Amino acid sequence: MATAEDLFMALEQFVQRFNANKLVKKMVRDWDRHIFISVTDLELASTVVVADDAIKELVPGESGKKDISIIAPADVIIGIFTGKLNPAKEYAKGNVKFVGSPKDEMKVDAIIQYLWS
Amino acid sequence: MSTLQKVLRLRTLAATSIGLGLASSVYAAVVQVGHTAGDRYIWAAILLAAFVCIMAARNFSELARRFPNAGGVQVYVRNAFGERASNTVSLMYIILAVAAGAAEAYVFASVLRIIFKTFNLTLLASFPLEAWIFLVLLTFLGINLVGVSVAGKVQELLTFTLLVLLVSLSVYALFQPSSHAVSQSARVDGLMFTQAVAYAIYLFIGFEWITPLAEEAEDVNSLGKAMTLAIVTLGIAYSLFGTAVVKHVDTASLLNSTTPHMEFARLLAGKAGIMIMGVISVIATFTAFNAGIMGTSRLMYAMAREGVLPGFLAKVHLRFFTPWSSLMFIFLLQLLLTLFVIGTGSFKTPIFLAASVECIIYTLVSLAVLKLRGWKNVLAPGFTALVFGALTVLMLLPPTPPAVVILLAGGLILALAYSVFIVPRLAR
Repeated sequence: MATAEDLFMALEQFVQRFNANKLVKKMVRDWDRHIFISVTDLELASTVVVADDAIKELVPGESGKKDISIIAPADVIIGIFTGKLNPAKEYAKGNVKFVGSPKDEMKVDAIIQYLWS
Repeated sequence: MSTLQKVLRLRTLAATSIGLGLASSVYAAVVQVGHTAGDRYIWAAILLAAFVCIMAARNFSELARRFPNAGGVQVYVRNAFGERASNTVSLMYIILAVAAGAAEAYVFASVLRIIFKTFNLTLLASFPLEAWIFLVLLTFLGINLVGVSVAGKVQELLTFTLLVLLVSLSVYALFQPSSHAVSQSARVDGLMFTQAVAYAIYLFIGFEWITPLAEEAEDVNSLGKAMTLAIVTLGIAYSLFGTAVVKHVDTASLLNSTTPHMEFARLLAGKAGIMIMGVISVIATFTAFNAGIMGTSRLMYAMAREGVLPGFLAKVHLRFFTPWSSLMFIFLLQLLLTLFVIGTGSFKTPIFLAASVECIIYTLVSLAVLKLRGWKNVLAPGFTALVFGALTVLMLLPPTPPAVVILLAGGLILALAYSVFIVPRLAR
């Protein structure tokens, strides 16, 4: 079972990969969002703050704003953000819940797709 | 700990569930129902179809409570019968959406030509039907590529407006004097009447498309209520409309019309009637067609992302963030089907095809309930499965064109073969 440390390492890696990818940075142009990640089994949360075409910070817990929420157990969150699990498959199985507009949902999935393909 | 926001109320869910059933292509099906059942019994066939759809809705509601997630029918079937059956059902939904979309494009293009002719827009009216079908499909492709969507409140308002207009027109027609005598045949042909009930399933098409919203519903039980409310509302609206039509005209004279609602409106109120029904058609096509294409393109995108469909269908437009390759693919399929319809001259083929696919899906979902209940308390879902199984068979008997049987059999065999032989290879 994944630990809190595994989770934050995976998210940190994701942030580095995200900010190093030119195409992904182009994809988030004028798309400032607070992506709230809730880890159900560890009872932890984190917020990815996207602003000025990059991930600006990774805030533990809530940042006061939730444009998008991603809710799943730690193993699934780590799998998705490290490219080891397919978010679409996990979503269809009901292992991950997504709250946000369909357009934002498509954008997050596309970012993960382009980042790991 | 965060949970999903429960934002969707009964009214929004019901409006969304009604949405697809208010398409412009439905009126040709209403006329077919009247002609097959016998004009005098049109209301009975429509209300009986509503009743059996409510039985199907009970099954969807039970499964949505059991699996309240965004996967909807695919998840229910996967849990009952496994991955292959689930993939086959998803492919059947794509066939359904393509068929319904092709019917809608054909009918809406015909509506546009009638409006142009009536209001002496001769240049626009002179374009061939094929050109208008192409333009209609292209317009909706463009709208979806850019990602224009109807917000929940707007959907509620449009649905309410459509229902008020449709019911008002029907009630007005019912109170108008008519020189036409409704055929009073003494005996009802049981087989034909049951077949009319099967055709009437098209009037409620897509009521279950709200099941993926289970997580966002204020109360998961409201999903079942919303579907029932939607079916009852559509049942009343269409039985009123059908009864109004047969009061003034013999359905046999409208049977070969792609736009019987426009002809009925003209008969009733001349140019004003055409104007009102034209507005109804424009709103109906916009809401139903747009929701249908958007939902199907996202389903195809998700299937491509899951590795069930080829990867090229998972391409996302980098400016609009819409699944452009899935949208293009749907556009091509709908264009091919409408060309086939024009070629065969049978514009009702996609309507019958969509209704028969829907009956098969309702049968499968009833069987899924039986399986997940462990074959206990079998009476209600077992009966529903039998009813929809029988309706599927009846749907394929004449006067249904043979092309429907060929397309349905071909589609099912291809979907099944694809799920069994191709999907495992794609997964590898």
